[in-house]
Formats: sequence, C-alpha cells, structure tokens
Amino acid sequence: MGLRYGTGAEVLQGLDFRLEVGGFYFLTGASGAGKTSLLKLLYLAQRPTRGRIRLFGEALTDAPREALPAFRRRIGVVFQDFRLVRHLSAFDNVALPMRLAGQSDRAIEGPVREMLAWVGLADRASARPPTLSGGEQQRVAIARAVIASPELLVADEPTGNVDAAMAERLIHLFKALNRLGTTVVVATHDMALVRAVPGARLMRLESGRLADPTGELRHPPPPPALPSSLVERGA
Amino acid sequence: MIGGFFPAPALSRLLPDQKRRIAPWIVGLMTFVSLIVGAAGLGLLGAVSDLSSASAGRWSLQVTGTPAEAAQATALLRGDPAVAAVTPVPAQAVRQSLEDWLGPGAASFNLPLPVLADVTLRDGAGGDALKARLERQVPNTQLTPYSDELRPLLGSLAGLTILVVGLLLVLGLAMAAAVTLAARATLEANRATLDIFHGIGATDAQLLSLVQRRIALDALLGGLVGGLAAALVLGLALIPARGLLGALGGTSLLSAGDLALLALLPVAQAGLATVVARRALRKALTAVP
Repeated sequence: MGLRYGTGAEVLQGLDFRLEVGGFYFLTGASGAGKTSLLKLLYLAQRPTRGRIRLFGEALTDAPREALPAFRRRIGVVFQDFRLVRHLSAFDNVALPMRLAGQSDRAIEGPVREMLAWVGLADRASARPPTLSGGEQQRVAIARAVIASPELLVADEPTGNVDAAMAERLIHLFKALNRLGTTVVVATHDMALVRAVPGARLMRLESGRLADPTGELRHPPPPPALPSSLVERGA
Repeated sequence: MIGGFFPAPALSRLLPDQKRRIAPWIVGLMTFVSLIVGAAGLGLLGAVSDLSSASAGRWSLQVTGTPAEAAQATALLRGDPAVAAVTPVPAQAVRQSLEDWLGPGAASFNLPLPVLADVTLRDGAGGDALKARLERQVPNTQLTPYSDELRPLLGSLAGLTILVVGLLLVLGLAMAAAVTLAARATLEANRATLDIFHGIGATDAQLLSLVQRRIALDALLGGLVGGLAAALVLGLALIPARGLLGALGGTSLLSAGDLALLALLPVAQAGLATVVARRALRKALTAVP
C-alpha cells in the first residue's frame, strides 16, 4: 500500500507486511521516514491512497466511516503530541475511552484511579493538562491509551518526555499488555527501549519504504499458542 | 443516551464552555423580529376575518330618487323573506358623514342627500336576485353588498398577510443560514477536541450530540430572551390597540389561539435551529476520514 497527502509525493510506498496478533513491534527510522504516517494508517486516522489494509481480520480500506469508530475503540494510541483534552482533568482524559464506550461513572471510577496510580499520577487526577509537566502529560496519554485494554496498542515516541525510570515502567506496562494478547507497535528512536523487549520485531522505515530483509514481516511465523485464560477472554 | 439527539450527562461535559457565543444573539434577534412580524400577520388575518364575517349578509340600500321611491324600496325589502332587517340610516347621520368629509359648512351646500338603509339578509340567503328585482322595480335605487365596498381594503390586507408570510419565511431562512454558520464556528472552535474524540472511537452521532446540544441550548436561550422582549413590545403595543378596537366595537387584536401560536414560535425556531445545525454538522463531520 501507499499513502500520499493531497497531491504531494507518496510518503509511504510499496508497504506490504503483516502484524502477528500478540506481536511486539518497534518501528524505527530517521525523522521524516514515515513512521507517524504508518502509525496513522494503523490507528485508522488515514486511509491508504493505494493498496489495501486489513485490521482485526477486516478489510478497512473502503469501509464506511460509520464502521470505523468500533475498530478505533479496539486500538489504544499514544500520540507523539499527547493530544490531551485541555479543559478536562487528568482523570477525565484517562476516562474518555470508557465514557465514549458508554460505561457508567461507577464502572469508570475504579479502573481510572488505578491506572492513574500506576503511572504515578494518583495525586494529580484533578489537574488539567496545561498544569502538568510534559512527562506527566505523556503518562496521562499512555494511561488513556491502555485503560480500555486495547487489542492493538500504537505508541508514537512514548518515552520521549519521561525519565529513564518512568520509561522502564512504561515498557513494563506495554510488555504486560502484550503478554495479555495486545499487539504493540511502538515508534521510537530509543534503542535502549528496543533492547528492553527481547523478542520484539524491528520494522525500519527508510524514505517511506519498509526494510524487511528477513521477510518476517511479510511472512510472520505462526503465533505461539495463547494462554488458556486469554483464549477464554477472547471467546 | 449515547448517539442520540442529546448526549449522556457524562458526555455533555466533554466540550469546554465558551464564553462568547453568537448563536443565542442571532436566534434571539430572529425570534424577536419573527414574533413581531408574526403578531402583525395574525392581527391582519384576524382583521380580515372580522371584517369578512361582519360584512357577510349585509347590504347597503341607496335611493337617490324621491321619498316615495325610498318608501317603496324599503317596503319591497321588508316584504322579502330573504331579508332579516332593514335599518334606515337617519338623515342626521348622513349629514354628519357629509360634514366629516366636507367640513362643518357642508349642510349649507344644499347637496341632494340619498336615503340610506342597512339591509341584513337571513343566514345563507343570497342578495343578487333581490338586488336585480329591487333595481328593476324601483328606479334610482342601488343595493350594494358591504363586501364590495370592503373588497379593496380586504385585498390590501390579504396582500399584507402574504407579505408577512413571505417575511417569516425569509426570516426562517436567514436564521437557518446564521445557525449553520454558528454551528460550523462551534465545530471549528472545538475541532481539536473533537478530533481527539474521533481518534479514540467517538462516533459521529456522539460528536453531533455534543455540539448540537450546545446549539439547542443556545437556541432555547435566544428564543426565550427574544420571546420575552417581543412579548414586552407586543404588550405595550396591544394595550392602546385594545382601547381603539373597543371604541370601534371590535374584539381583541390577537385571539388566545394566536397567542398560543406565537408562544410556540420560539420553540419551533429552537427546533429548526437544532435540526439545521445537525445537518450542517453532519456534513462537516464527513470531511474527517
């Protein structure tokens, strides 16, 4: 598939790959290589201008717009610029995916408080984004992305504004979600982060093309058997 | 009520409060003008109806000949089963009318005055055959329906009523256009927030309900303020008009039904504003992938 914005040149071209369910992927590449554009395709903010995209087993390239929100709710996104809602508190920002899914305040309260505590922001629940530091905003964004236990987690430079200790905690969170069956795609320049996840696959973008020298991205090995608890959850 | 016309309470808080909003002012002004114009239109319709019913079955007898001819005409009319009453207009009243038109010295002009009488027909009776018979049998006699004399006035009033309806339509269109612009402005003002909601799975219906709730509340607020202002102005205008109508023997300018219709107008406008905003927003939202 390929992607171009307006009448410009293609920013992504000749992409042909598969992501294994439950896989952990790092997307690397120089600035301007197309990482964010590829992530946009993954979290359905853009449609490819050429080719096809299938997600969760469904062909979504020409899917009607009304069908997309249901798929977006299965995806957690950590945006590079956080995209927090400025007038909502940290609590309400984290609660957004659950509210949009129609969950009650009572059902939301516990998980959101727990998630905020996990990212170290229990005492900042009522603070609004403009009063939070960059690192705190990023942690709120991450908490929002994972609160609804997404099937696919897409993160764009998730550790860009946090210290080493928090980066380690976040990658632990991503690994934990991955162990529960969430497919994780992280765009990063941070090779330490890549090394922290043994077994993760590396996708490298160069000038809008995906380097896949081993062919593993086009023909991934069969996924390992899922734990029985996860099979029950999926059922 | 997720995805419905209005959002669930938890969702309704998701858009920020905007201090400077133009929609209430637009709707308020439009409501005020619409109510004044609507009241004028209903008043005109009422006047047309009153005049039409007052003139129905009423004819005017005019005899320019001799007193004997006048007596013969009156007798012929009183003897006709279609006629309910014949009421001669006193000569003094005729002279008074002449003075009203020509000035206080008109009586000294020695102008020949016709004998006049008001003729009232029974319900459902037609006057054309009676008119033909009377004017054939009694020379120098004219029997004229009131409606003929009122036709130019009624025509003018009907024309004004059509103009009022046209004005109301134009006002409705203007308000729809203004609300469309206000809805788009609201959408643009909240675009970043709505894009975030969209990105994490909000449906168009949810986003619509968020924005249209604001437009609906603005429209109701504007309708209320415009309605109150119009009620005040109409109240002040109707008090002297009521006195005038009383002096003329008429009824009230606006009936209870008219007032109920006017009271519904702000609600209808708020509804129109909401529907128009919803359409505009739906169209704008489809621009997002």
